[in-house]
Amino acid sequence: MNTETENSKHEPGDKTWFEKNVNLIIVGLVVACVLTVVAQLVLPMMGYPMFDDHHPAHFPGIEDVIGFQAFFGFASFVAVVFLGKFLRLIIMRKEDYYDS
Amino acid sequence: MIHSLPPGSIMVFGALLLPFIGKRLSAYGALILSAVSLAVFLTAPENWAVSLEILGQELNMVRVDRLSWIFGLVFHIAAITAAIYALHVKDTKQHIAGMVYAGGAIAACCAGDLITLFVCWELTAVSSVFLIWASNSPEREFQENEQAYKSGMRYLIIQVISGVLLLSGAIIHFVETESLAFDHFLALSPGETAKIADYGLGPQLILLAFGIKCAFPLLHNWLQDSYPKATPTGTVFLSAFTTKLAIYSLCRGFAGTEELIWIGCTMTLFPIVFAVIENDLRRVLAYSLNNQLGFMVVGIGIGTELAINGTAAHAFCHIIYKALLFMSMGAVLHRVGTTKATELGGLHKSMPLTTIFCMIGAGAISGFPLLSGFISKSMIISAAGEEHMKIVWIILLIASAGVMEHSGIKIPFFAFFAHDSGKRVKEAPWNMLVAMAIGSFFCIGLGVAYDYLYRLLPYQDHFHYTPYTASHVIMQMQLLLFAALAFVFLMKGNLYPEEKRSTNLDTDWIYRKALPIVLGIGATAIGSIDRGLRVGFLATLKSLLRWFSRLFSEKGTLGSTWSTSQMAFWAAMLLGVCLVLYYL
Repeated sequence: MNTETENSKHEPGDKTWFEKNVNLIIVGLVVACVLTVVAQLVLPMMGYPMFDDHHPAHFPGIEDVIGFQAFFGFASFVAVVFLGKFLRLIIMRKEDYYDS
Repeated sequence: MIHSLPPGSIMVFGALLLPFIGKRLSAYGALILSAVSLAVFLTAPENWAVSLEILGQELNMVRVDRLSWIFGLVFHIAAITAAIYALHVKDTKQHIAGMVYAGGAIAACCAGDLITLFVCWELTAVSSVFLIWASNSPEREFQENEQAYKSGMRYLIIQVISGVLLLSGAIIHFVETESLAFDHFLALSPGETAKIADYGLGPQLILLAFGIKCAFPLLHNWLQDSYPKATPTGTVFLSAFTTKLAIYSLCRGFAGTEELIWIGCTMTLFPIVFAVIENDLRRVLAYSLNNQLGFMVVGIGIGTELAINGTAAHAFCHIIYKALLFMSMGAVLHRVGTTKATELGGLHKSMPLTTIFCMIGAGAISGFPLLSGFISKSMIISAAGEEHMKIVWIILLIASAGVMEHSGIKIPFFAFFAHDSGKRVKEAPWNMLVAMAIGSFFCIGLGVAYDYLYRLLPYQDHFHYTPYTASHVIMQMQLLLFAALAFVFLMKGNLYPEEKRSTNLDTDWIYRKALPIVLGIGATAIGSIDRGLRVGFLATLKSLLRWFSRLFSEKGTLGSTWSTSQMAFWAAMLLGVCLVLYYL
């Protein structure tokens, strides 16, 4: 194993673009989120329907609801994380559980 | 001449020559072997078939149709990439193991009969375990080496059990049908469905064998147990072949089996929850691998032409992006010495290229448009939609958000960003970077020029699929971006579970803890019963002996000298009894 690690002290000037612009990235993400929902509203008005005869909605009333997948993505993510937290209560053991 | 041997055999037999060319060159030897094998594979005649007669039974050792071909091709790409990734490794043993393993898997997916399949199946099992054991090194702590050895042993036992089930199933199938051909066991056409109960005992055993290798729920834990313990380069090999060989075999033998849909759905769901709380990022990837297999198993269960094409395409893309993710984590392990999230963070400062490659892999597995996962996973989800399977469709959406969680965000974020661990290391070695670049090239290339892949898929006659429709792209972006937003929301609200050094129990608890305890209790109980019986028997024997010795002693009833009158009395008594008995 080739491990060459040196622990350097955190210097203020050491910050990368990512670290300096975390908030900008978050704002960008929020804007992109809004845009995807807006696109679902606006594109059909501009003559680009979401579904047509070649690509019909398989589940009308679910799939074509505005922001369905947006809500679904957010909710599933939160649900999965909370389920994980709950699961930890049951299955988490010390790191050397199997060796002790 | 060369085409009269099974595909991949150049790698298997060539690997045996690697020890003779020296430690330094053996890595390059492995790369050349896999490249030559690919050249042979690509120049093969159409409908490549080789048969052999053994004991009056004709074995189709080679049968390359469209389904075999696409798996054979991607196995070759994976072998070459992994060989480049392992160029710096000077341990010849690992190169031999890697080549025999990859060659065995390629030969297996081109096998036309069950016996050849079984032989290759066992070959992959036995060769791959050396990639886990190879992580034993004097530089690591004794405890870690011990763990890798034990984990490899568990892996080998489970893989061999799968092989034995396959052989038993094949024999029973042969007795029932007098055929060893490896085709669909119910001869279903695409779109036709069946239930597990419709198959005979032989195919049911074979399904169980495939299920073990495919990491079906409750049979899955060998994967999460062993893959993270292999060497950084070994895991890249492991991630590509074993499970996808099982996917190919299920596609071939059991497409359209309804229960597979629900087995697949379970596989897509439960690993994502485990992945949230897992600290070792290579283990997170193993859970993620399990989840991806779930998508493919659902596709096999649906069994329509679109679903099978989707499964083959997803396997193709998945092998590459999963290998890319394992390569990026392997590079971290190689440089930092660990992949535990608690000890990583901020590595984008010192490993910028690895970070970019990892993010491409993470984007591909999550299914971002223009990357490979999008054009293959959406096919399986659409296949569920076309069959109007609402619940399956919704489960696959939840699973897609889950993929975004563990592979799309958790892996790159905790390794390369998050809080700065202060670790400053060198960028990955050049050969690792080249291999990751090849992986990234395919992830982007397949996402953009998807038509090249679609033309290789098994069913072409009625196949027209357009991944980039307005609805697909916008819906998928909504799902993924809002999932990312949820992550930001949970992180900012301190609701995201922090990484902890821990062991999370899974089904391996049954055979690593519960079984030894139950066996221990059983052994103690049997021991004490045995001891009780022995002591009791001896005590009874002793008291009997004592009684007899008393009875026959000089003063005992039977041993003492009798008087004449006593003798006469008892003799008369005896004669009297005889007389009475005579009259009765």
